[in-house]
Amino acid sequence: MKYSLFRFIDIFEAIAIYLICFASNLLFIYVLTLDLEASFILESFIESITDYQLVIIILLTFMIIVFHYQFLNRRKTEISCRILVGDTMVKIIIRYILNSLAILGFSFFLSLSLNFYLELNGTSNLYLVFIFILYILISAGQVKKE
Amino acid sequence: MRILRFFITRIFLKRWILVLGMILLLFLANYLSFTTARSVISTFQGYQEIETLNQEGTFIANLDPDSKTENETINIDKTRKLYEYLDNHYTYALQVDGFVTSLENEHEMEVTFSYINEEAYKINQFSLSQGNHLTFNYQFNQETIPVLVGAGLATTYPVGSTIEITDPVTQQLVNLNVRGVLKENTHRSNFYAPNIKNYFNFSIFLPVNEEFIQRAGLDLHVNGLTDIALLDSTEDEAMNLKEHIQKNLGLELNFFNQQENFDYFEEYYVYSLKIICTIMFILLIIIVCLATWNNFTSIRLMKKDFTINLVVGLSYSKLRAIFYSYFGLLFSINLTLLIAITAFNRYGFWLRKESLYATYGIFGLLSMDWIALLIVLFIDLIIGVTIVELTLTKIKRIPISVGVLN
Repeated sequence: MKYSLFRFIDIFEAIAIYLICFASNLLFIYVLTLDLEASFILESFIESITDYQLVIIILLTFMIIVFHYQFLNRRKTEISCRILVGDTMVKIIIRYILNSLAILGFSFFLSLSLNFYLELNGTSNLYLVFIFILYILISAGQVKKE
Repeated sequence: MRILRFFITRIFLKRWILVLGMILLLFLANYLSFTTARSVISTFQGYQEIETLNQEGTFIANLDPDSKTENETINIDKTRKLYEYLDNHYTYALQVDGFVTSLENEHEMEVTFSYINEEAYKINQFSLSQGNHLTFNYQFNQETIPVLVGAGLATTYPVGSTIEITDPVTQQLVNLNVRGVLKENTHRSNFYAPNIKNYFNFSIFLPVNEEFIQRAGLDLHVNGLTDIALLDSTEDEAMNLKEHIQKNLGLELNFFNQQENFDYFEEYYVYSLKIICTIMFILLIIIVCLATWNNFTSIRLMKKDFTINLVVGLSYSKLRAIFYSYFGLLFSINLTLLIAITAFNRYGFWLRKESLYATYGIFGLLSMDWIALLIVLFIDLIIGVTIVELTLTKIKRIPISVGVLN
């Protein structure tokens, strides 16, 4: 993470949001595997939420868009300063993508521990990883100076 | 008002992604609290209905979950004899719903028959919007059978009209005479999932007497037995019937008395509702944390705008009022969205012709939906106050000089 735009607090925030998204997705999948026939009340309640599982998860992933948006807006001055002292926009963008992917990868591997704990398939969160990669690539276009 | 419009259009909407993020998060919070509140209200309503049946001397039957029934041991002769035995020795309430038939009606809905005997009819005390109550002393095949129709059938089959139809359980052509119309949204809650209800807006209530039962098919006999309620009975009588049914039909039924039912339902409901509320509480906490974070990031980005306005005379109390109005607006958008989605879901039952779930109401919403929306409004107030006060504390911590420097 040398010359990174990310500070510790940014990394912490990003990991927290990624983990909330991954954990929510896993918990949805987990409750679907539970045998809730002993309680019809519980079963119908859980069903009323899990019916909209995908919509809820996609809404939650929007928080990552919010994170990238506010992060890049706050870093505009720093990017200008870096360019002033010899850095280039291309290098900054590449570093931003790589750092974002590293944070995403780290969060994904952390979420795998929950996968193993709940005895769920390790690939359950992969579709979210692709969505997040897409967000990162789109947000890379927003790396701008002041 | 002008300053509020200025803040919304020039400051908040300038960073519309953050506003959209906030709307989405608050919508999630609203949807989850609405689902939970409605589930709890519906369960409570169902429990109250079951309470009317759960009296002293009443024994409610249910099929033992471990019972392995061999269908070949049950035949119509045996069930007829069993009902004869029941009529001679017991007083019982019987209601069996869901026998589908095709009957022309203006909404082109499937019509279901609900068979009810006199005791069950007396206990449930269904309200009518027109006409008179059912009578049970008719002669099957010799005279018309008096029936009640659901509110959805009232215009096609008004009080006094006659319906000629093949009855689904006797498979005989019968003449039904409409005696009365059930009130809109008359329903019956599922015994084991009281939050699930069958609505009788497109049902025909057919009175069942001894003669009718003897002519009915196996479906009505067996389904009726598994939900039958013995009235004014004793533990010994219930046990005798249990043994009689097991010996003759091979069906293993349990008959629980008032206390056993009370204990069972109390434990079952309380356990389920506790889990539902815990899940909702945890999810709400997570969403409120995310929403607060989203608002804090907005503050970070709008630091300059806020401090400039504070320098030129905006007071913190006015800023607080702006934030409350802003959140009021967001909550109003979300509540409208929630009402629209709920109304659409209810309307979906009409579109899919699911007659047992099709309901009437203002904007298609039932009373339990409106009560749940009120609870959501209350939860929104708590969420709004929490986020606004935390945000104000955060803004007050920003030194004016730093903001201006930005």
